[in-house]
Amino acid sequence: MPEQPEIESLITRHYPALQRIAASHEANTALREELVQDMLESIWRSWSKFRGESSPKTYILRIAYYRAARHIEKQMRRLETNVEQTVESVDPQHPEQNAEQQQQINQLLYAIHRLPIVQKQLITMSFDGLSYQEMAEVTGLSISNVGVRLNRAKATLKKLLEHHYAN
Amino acid sequence: MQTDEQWDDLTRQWQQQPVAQQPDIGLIKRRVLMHRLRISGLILFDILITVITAYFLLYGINHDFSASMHVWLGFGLVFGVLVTVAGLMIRIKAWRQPAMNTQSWLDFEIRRARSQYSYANLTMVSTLVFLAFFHLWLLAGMFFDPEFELTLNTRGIMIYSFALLWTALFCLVAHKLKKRAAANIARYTSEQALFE
Repeated sequence: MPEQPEIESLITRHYPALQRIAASHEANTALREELVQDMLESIWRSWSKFRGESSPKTYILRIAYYRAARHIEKQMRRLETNVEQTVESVDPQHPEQNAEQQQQINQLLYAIHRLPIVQKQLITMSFDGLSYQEMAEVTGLSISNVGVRLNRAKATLKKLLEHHYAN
Repeated sequence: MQTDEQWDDLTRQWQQQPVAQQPDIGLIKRRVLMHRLRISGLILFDILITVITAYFLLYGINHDFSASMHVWLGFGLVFGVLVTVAGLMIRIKAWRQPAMNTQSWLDFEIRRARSQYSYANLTMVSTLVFLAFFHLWLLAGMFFDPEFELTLNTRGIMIYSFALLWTALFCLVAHKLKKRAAANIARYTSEQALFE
């Protein structure tokens, strides 16, 4: 079992990915930050149960996606639905950021928020450069199925983005 | 998005999201500690209540408490032990649960939502059965027992209103839980279908 300094460095290494996962599940900035903290806390608490059956990265991502899905359920309970919320700027503290780039990110997040959980996971893992093997470990799909489901997810995302641009 | 170029463009957009680089490790440690304290506190509270109830029951047996008090304390003790054991078992199960893959946790969520649905149903049915028996007892008392205290005086009406309010509240909560569980079953089942 890895020691505490190791979990600290692992968390630091995957922190940007965790924030992007949170962004793909929550539009509101404050709630997104709370979700990231929930993920970090869960990962820290669960680390003692890590037995090396998968890679530390996929172990961390499994926990992160689980927390994100639980977060959606909690928000649906609280607000009935949060999908109609406007996607807020990813980082409101950087107004100098290129407005067009920010708009593109917002449109992409807007479309990703509307994907079913599994498709959302596959798309975001693909964006973060995970291999099919790693995606299979996180989702429980077979490696051969990952490619098929990912292509379907890409097609759905394409439709959502086209629909968004059309409107 | 059909072309690699379009996909690469989206990937670039995704990866260019501004993110913080350093997590607040101190904050994580504090949250973990608070979580442990909260869970331990809840379990300790359950145990404490059970021990106090057991103490009062023994005290009551030795000091001639009324029979109805013995029944209430006995019921409280059994309930306290059940809640404490159930709480401990849930914690142990949660602690042993490794990080699940998506497919496993969807199965797990569906099972959990189904149990919540059945539990809500059971609560509603048992509340209605309680209501029926309560009315039978009330009617029997009013018609057949001349000593029956619960006539339509102020005290009787208050007890009756309280029982009705309590029952309505139980039914309402159970109904809400049932609706939520049904929505969760539908949502997770449709998610699970994407695996097939």
